[in-house]
Amino acid sequence: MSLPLLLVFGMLVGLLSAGVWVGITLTSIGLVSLEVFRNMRVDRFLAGDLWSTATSAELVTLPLFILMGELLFHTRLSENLFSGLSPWTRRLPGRLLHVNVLGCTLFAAVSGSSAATTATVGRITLKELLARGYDRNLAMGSLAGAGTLGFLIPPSIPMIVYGVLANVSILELFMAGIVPGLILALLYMGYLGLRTTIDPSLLPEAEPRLSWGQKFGALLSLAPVLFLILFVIGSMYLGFASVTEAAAMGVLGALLVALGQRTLTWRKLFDALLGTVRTCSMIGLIISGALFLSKAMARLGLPVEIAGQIEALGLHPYMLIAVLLVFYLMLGCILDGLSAIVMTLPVTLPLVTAAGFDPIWFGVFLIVTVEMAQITPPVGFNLFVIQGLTGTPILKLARAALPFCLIMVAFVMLMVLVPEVVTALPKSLS
Amino acid sequence: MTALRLLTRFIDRLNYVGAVVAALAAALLALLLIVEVITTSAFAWSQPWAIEFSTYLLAFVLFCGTGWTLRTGGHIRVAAVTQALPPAARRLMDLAGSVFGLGVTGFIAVAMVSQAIRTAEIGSRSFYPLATPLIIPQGLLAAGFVLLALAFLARVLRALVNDPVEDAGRHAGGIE
Amino acid sequence: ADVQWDVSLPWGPTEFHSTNAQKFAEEVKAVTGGAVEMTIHTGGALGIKANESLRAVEDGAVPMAEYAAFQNVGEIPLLGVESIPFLISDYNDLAALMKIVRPVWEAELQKRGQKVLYVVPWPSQNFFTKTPVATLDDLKGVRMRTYDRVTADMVTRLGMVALQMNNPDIVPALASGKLDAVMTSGTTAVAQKYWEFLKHAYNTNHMWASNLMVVNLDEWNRLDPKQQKMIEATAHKLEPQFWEISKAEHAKRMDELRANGMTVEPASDALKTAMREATASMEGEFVTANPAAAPLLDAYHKAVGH
Ligand code: NA
Ligand code: NA
Repeated sequence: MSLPLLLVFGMLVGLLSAGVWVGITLTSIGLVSLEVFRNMRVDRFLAGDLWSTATSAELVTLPLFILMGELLFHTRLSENLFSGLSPWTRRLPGRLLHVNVLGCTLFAAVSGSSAATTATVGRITLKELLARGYDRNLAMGSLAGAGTLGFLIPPSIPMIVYGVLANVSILELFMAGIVPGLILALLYMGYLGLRTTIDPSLLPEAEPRLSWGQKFGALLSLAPVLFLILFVIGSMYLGFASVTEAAAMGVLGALLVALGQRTLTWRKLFDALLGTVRTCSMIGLIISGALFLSKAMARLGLPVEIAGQIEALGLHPYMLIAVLLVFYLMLGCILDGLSAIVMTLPVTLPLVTAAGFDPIWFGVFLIVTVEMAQITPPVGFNLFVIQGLTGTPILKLARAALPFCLIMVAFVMLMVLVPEVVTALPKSLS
Repeated sequence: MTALRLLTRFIDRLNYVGAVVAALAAALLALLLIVEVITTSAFAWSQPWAIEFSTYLLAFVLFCGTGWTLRTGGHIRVAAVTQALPPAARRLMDLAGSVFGLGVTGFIAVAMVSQAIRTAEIGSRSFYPLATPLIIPQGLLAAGFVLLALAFLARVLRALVNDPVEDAGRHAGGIE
Repeated sequence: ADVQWDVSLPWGPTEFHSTNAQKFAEEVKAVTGGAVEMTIHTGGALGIKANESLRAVEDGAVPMAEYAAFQNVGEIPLLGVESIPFLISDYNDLAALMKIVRPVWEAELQKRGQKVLYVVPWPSQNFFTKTPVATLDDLKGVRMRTYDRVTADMVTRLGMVALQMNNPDIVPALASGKLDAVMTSGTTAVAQKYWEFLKHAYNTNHMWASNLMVVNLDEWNRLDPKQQKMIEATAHKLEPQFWEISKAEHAKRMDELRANGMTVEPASDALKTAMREATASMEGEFVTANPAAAPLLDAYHKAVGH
């Protein structure tokens, strides 16, 4: 192992286990490794990078969706959602546990970011799920896992970045993400159903059976949820709002729901705003640290060097994908997944296309690895978001999310064996 | 002792002001983009400042309240190892971590402030239609990092005199 | 290598500016016997945005970078001179302007701690639209993406709606109908596969944009004079080749657009006249805002005879 890598891993393990804040840890590793191994103005590089990260257009949706979640937290939307769905899910294996997967899948259709998806959906669902007595690990794990669908189901910021870098159609990439996104959602639901069937103690007591009249009455309470979904998705897909603006429409929609339910007060509005600031500060410090560390790695040439070594191995196509999967998973443990792609793509893309893989297919492959990176410790943004929501320690969350990460690994194998799950839909449309 | 407590309380106040600035920025950001949807859809007019200001407001939301977030215990750390330590050792580790944090954020704050000063000296402006003098957003962003460094300073001082280092108030995160 | 420079480029790894930079790096490495090595970081991998590149090099945040001149007018307003609408009609005009302007740019950039190694233009600009455009009326109310002061002004004066939009919003906005039109070079149009949303391309040639490859002066002064000479000679030798690549780009990319089902037409005379009229006052406004540009533009008009 080269010296810089040793330093990076050593500092990471040492500082994190000493209880140093994650964002501070990441920034300091970037600083120290550049000061030690490169002769450069590290302070200038850092200042420019922090300014650039703080003002990056890709992040604008984040505070807006978080504010939307905070506002909805003060409404009765979550009770509405659960009481509307619960009589209809009585006989479904896993019952209301599926609400995270369904909520994230739906929300992914407006949000291009996975942290925003996790934060918003989690703010609405988690409290109620736990209050109703559903298993903590399954509730949080399914939120972490399904939250990553924000990247795979269009719109998706990483897909746009990949499309521009790899010179492939962003539209085709978006199409290519839909089927894998839905399959993953189904696999997650299948897992939830299976786990809770095997071990029914993970579920609370079944609620009393309702008459059909009561069932349809319950549906009525879904009206605000439905309004919100149609309002936000509609504003974007009908061409009124851009991807970024759709997040602002989410805030407006949440305000309208709160006004409609007469739950909005100035005090609650201010609390929601402060809550947004708190979550955004937490994510902002970590994201700026992770992005700075990624760029420090780029300047040390590490990811490209390792990618070059993979190239030199001259592997069989399947082996190549397996090695790349491990490579990106390991990068994703420390680095922001998207940055890892941007840095290494010039080396890995030609490698993969030469091995006969479709660049659209490889794009989806990379997005799935970025998704895994969101839920692998020590640096996994969905885990941080859920830690912020629940206060649960990161390693415990990582364990809860592990089955969902393994489902993604299994899905990548399916993708390799049956590439058509990715390529069929975009091909049929072009 | 009282002087020290006055100082740490003063830092708290400053950081609360920062958090309120960040909260207002979040509200303005939402308002700005909601208005943009309405004006572009209904009046075929786009606010020429919408994109530019949205990125500055983002910067304020992310970093003006970051010191307050530290004070209220909102920043994330891995507690698995430290929690296993006896209380005295845990306090010592926490102090060491805060000193380290003060060092790193102090470095960041100095880097950000000197960047803002150079921006003011050079007179850098944005390339967007409004050509905003960049010292305004960069100055406020730098202030956010200064606030974070101050929050770490207050944390170190409090740890030294055994005052509680965090005060979650009404913002105790967590559903548990 | 004795010297190891990271080079920041905002464009993707396969765009011609990136491959040019790669070639430059290879030749510099060869002529200096491996003493000066440049690592090309494409796609903004170093996190330095196009409009922040001048400052990044000045600050020494990165030793080398390539950026479009007009994207850094916030730092040096005179860098916007080539984007005055309809000032330049072809590569010959641009070369004439560069002869006059480049020494001034270089002097300004020297004050900002950087040295220009080479300058390469983007190919000619086009409007890409959903619906055909024959007259100015066809542009009324069309929502066009703009990216700076000049283009926003021009688009507004043409009766269009100028939408500022960040890169991640563009393709979804084209897909959803939030956006009706964009203006850019054929290079970008092909890279982003605009035929998926837009049907018509009009070569409006309304403005020009050049990229500057620059190096931080402190870094540069660390080289010995022999190495400096070698690098300058390499840049001098390659620049004309890079211009030829740029010249070939437009036709090549238009062919690709046609092959993908887009109609590619010259802008109609009516449209061009309307565009010229709408933007006629912009040169005067530029000079008012930047008096230093007056003698340069006078010399340029004399040299090209229009
Ligand atoms: Na999405
Ligand atoms: Na990770």
